[in-house]
Amino acid sequence: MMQLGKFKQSNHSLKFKLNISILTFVCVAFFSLAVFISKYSAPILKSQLDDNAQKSVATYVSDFSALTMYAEQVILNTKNTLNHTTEDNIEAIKVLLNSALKTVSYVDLDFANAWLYVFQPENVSVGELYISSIAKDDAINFKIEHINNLYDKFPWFKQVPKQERIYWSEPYVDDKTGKSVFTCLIPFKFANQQDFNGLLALTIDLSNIQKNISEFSFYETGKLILLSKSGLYVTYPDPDVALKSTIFDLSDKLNVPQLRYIGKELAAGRGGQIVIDDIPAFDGSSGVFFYAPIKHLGWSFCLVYNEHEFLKPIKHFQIMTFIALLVSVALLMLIINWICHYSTKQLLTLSHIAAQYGSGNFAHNFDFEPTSSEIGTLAEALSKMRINLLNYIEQERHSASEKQKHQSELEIARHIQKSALSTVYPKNEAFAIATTMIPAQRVGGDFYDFFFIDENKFAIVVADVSGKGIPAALYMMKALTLIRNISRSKMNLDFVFSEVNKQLEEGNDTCMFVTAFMAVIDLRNGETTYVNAGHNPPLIGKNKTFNFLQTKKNIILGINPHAKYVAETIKLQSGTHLFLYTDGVTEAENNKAKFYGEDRLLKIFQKAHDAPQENVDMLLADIKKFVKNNPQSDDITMLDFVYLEQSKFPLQVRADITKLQEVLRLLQNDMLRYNVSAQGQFDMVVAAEEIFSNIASYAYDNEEGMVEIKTSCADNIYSVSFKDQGKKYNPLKRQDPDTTSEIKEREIGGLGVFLAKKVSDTISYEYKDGCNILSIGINVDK
Amino acid sequence: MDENEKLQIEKIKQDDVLTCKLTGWLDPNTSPSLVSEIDLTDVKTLIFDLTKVEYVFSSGIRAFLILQKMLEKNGGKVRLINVAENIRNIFEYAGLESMIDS
Repeated sequence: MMQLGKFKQSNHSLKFKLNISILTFVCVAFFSLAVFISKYSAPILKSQLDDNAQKSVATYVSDFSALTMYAEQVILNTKNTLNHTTEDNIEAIKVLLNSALKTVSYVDLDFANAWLYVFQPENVSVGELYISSIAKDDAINFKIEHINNLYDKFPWFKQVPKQERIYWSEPYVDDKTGKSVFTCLIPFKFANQQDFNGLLALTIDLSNIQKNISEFSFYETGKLILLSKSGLYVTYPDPDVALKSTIFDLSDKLNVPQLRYIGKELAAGRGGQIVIDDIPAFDGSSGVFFYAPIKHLGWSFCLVYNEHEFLKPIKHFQIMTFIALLVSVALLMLIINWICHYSTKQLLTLSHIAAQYGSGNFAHNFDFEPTSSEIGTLAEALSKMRINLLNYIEQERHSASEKQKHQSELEIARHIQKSALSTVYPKNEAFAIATTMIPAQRVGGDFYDFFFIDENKFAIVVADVSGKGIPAALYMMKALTLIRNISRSKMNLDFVFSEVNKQLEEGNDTCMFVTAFMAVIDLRNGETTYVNAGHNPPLIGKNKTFNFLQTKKNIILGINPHAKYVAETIKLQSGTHLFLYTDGVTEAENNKAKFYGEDRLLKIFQKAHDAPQENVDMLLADIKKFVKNNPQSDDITMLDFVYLEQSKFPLQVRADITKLQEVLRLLQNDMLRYNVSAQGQFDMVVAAEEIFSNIASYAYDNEEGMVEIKTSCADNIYSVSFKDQGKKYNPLKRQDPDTTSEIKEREIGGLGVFLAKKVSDTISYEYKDGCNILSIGINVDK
Repeated sequence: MDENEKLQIEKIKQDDVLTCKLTGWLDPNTSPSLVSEIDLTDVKTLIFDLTKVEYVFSSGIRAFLILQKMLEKNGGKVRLINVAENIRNIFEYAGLESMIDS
């Protein structure tokens, strides 16, 4: 049988399992992708951010450099022109200053003013101040002030060197306008002077620059800070710090030593990048500082931004990924459910159909479109299975009915065969008979037969046809019919067998043959003719002494049409048995492959009974005991015939005890005629013995006398009557002996009649015409 | 002519036990030989094997009882073995089944 795959049973539906497995896979895939992108995109994003920061700072540095260098250029040009002007030429100075302001204002710088301070070289604290200032409407005002306290007005004035070099002041608040400004200064001298006469200055408003810087934002958290040469914050998000604290002040105040480091680096004219942890303004996150100096000015720009700024796009990406995941999962679930619904719907239909097929209902043929899908394959297989099953069932049905037909035909054959065998034993005073035939198969090749050829001649036959089954049975029927019909022609037995042989041979192409033994008994005198065609010799004997009958072995029947058969004769004595059988008896095989054998047959017949049926039963029981459970290999057939001389009763016999055994044996034989049972025979013999002994001992005292014994059988009662002419005596009236007393107290005599009363079924006494008549009866079926 | 079968008695003696294997009928003609042919000298237990006995009549029973009475004087007894079912019935009718060893 084909090994079927083991299915692991699960209570979950296909839909559930598909959902779980596919969704798990998708989630893992998305998650891995997200982690991968986060990990590898972070450095890229960070470097991009750093790049941007650096560029922003560089731009501001370059712009601010360009602006201040332009201012330096203007002031240098103006100074050079002053060198050719005399100090009394006020008009020329006015034109010069106005022109310088205008030039600078073209480049969109909002100057507070330009001024010229002229003093005597020997006393710088007293002098004239020429101021040119520009208004919002581009109108330029020029005025001259005379001032004495130079240092109060310009505290850093002392620091301006006398060399002709440009000096940039620290940023400060102009007390007239209140604006944050810083000033570019250079010493000058008029054309007519030897030594320098004063300072030329250009004051630049820082407001626009501050505004510009404070409006700048780098992403969300990034801030740009402008530091002066001394580290002073020119711009700062906190207005309390701008122009009031230096980077060093803040380093101490906030306890951030890295700020001092930045300050020193800038003072040394170096730029760079530094990360400072735990910036309060960034909620404790790290801050990234980009700083770059404005070299000719000594100032610097610093860009600060939250390091976690760059994580924002990643976070954003993660959120988007998560949303995409949710949407994908939802879509996938919809798709899976749809596929499952579609597939399982077909599967359910198929399983419903399969269940119907399983319960034997094949009516439902289904139309699945032939597809190459798994469902299509399954449907196709199911459809093929249906057709194959239908074919198979049809074949089975056909072969079953054939088988049944064959069986019933065999049954009929057996019935015909059985009915051909005689089963009713004729009731005849001259013999008793018993038979059996047990086929090894439903029909056998053995047969027995018995029939009257005429009123005095009785035929017994046992035969064995070669082979078994129907052919043997058919041939057996032919043989049986031939033997019976030809025997009735009343011809001699040798002729009968020759004729049977001839006719059996005709058309016997399959070379079947028959072995047979037949005997014809003349019931008047026991003269018996018998012929043996290759058959087992029968047993013959009486009184437990049996031997094999010596027979001439003629050729088997049905082979040679010219064969001659020789019959022999024997005279049977009264009580002599002829036991016929087939080789199914002697060749009955036990499980040690041993045959029952002729020796055992002969041995068991040394215990033979008088009644044929008892001998048949005895032998069958002994064969069964021998073969045990081994199956029967051949037909077993037996026929026991016992010849009985004509009844000797009524019998006149001397009332003498020596005649006892003779009388009892005659009674035994007589009972055979009436098929009295073994127990019945025994009881009758016991009763008759007691009655006859009683008469022999007491009826005639010591005189001689006769007893007349009659037998009869009616209504299943076999009766024997004893009639004597002795003295009148009714033994039935005698008191029964005490059978309950101890053995040693027993009287020796008096048991006989008591026993006769006990074993007989009827017992009666009458005295008639001077005769005692005692009758005993036995039930024949006892 | 005497057609009557003789009773055959096959005797085996071992110590004070005498076993007699009987073949034939135990009828009035044969039973007396049972008493006459068996020597009870030094016999305490007399066993009769009835395997090959077809019939036991009252005369046979009588013979067993006589032997029993003879043995009783010396405290001996008669036992019967291998008794066929129908013969056993006879002993039962006579109330003597106690003589049979089953």
